[in-house]
Amino acid sequence: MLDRVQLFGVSRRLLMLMASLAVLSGCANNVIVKADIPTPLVEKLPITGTMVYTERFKNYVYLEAEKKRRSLKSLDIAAAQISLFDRVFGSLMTLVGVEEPNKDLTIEPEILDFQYSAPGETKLKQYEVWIKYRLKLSNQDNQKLADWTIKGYGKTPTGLLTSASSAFNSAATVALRDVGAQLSLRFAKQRTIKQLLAGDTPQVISEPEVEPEPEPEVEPTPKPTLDSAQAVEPAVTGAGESTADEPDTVEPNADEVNDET
Amino acid sequence: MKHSLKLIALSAYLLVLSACTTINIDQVRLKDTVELIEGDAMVVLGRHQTAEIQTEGSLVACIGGRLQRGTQNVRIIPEPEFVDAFYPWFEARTAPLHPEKLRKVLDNPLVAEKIDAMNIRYFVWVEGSTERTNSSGSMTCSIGPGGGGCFGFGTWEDTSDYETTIWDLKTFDEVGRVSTEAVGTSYMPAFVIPIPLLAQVQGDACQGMGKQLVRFFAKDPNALKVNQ
Repeated sequence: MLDRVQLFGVSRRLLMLMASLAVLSGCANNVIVKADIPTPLVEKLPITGTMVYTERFKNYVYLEAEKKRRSLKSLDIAAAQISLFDRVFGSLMTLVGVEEPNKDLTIEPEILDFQYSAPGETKLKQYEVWIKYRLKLSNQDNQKLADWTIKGYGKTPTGLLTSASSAFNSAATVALRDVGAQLSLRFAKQRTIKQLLAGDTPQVISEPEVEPEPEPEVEPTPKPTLDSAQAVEPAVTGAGESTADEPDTVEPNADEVNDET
Repeated sequence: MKHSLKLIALSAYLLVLSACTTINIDQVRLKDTVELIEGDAMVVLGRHQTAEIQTEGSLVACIGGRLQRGTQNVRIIPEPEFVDAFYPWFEARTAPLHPEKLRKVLDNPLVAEKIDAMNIRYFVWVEGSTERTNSSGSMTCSIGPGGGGCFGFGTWEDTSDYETTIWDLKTFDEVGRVSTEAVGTSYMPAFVIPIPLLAQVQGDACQGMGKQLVRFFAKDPNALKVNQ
């Protein structure tokens, strides 16, 4: 009996040791992103608008589709991204209810792509998250005014005793902050917004003229770190560094916020 | 048996002595006097603009702490507090890379007002990282119902390479640079129990840079008192 207890004691210790090692290894399983994005320090524009979130957007959870074992099983970013868009657009313009008749804009965000990489999958010792959104802007008559695509990139280094869940949460938070930063700094420079600020009626886009974005693809493989780096490289000059007289369609930081009119 | 223990203790002692770091620090002073008056504030920020440039937050906080301890009546604003307060102007991809770009950021009245309210006079930018540059040796660990243990010997070399750039917000120019290169070798002998003899490369780099930055600001007669 004593032997059994001791044996059980040894097994329990072993199990605890293995559990600790599993926590410290790169497996995050299911992560719920908790991001607290600060209120942007930007001037509120004399524009009224409303945010519309589809059911898909409100319940978006990235699910790992790849059969081979990867670092993440699922990542729930729904609440964090809604909080981000509410906070950013709430700082840029006056947000009103959906039923409000006299509003300038309706903004409907859509997540197009989500990718990630973990240290075990790349040469770098960091977790990376890459998110691509499309924002559909329409007027109060539900006519499309613009389609913007915006990409956010976030990374966080590995650290001793830092769990993979915490690292993914940090990387996703940085990616969301990146999206918010680009929106905050480039919003007023977009053609549609300039037209609204000038008191003009924004040009409506007829559907056939809109170049459709490719359907979001569920990439089975992680976006290589090098590609992620290249994706953000052109933006090094920074949204904060662009000048007000930059043309909004020929921005040097290309893909950040493109008015596809 | 006693002999062996003494030998092991001696070897460990020698290895502790050799787990050290070599540091080179260079300072460039671009202005004769660095004005800093009581009540001024400084912010120490890390560069993170690309996937490759990832200055460790722990190092930035460490340098800020050293500056705070080495100075009096000057507030060192922690990086997370500053970046959150000025979101989105100093994010990884939006932070200005040159003093002239900072001037453009401060053209925004909301940003300029907040900088004034916080009395921020200097920006200290830290760029660089600590990398593993060499490693060798091997170690085997095994575990069983009767116990476990490790045998072998491992050694590795870490190199820290950092450069701090100091911007004056009054004149919007660079007033100085402090660069540091630190190299340290760590050892891990294992005879049943691994004994890590670690070289604190990043910590030593922080200490060196912190001291140098305190001296940099203290050179001015009206500036800080150095607590050293």
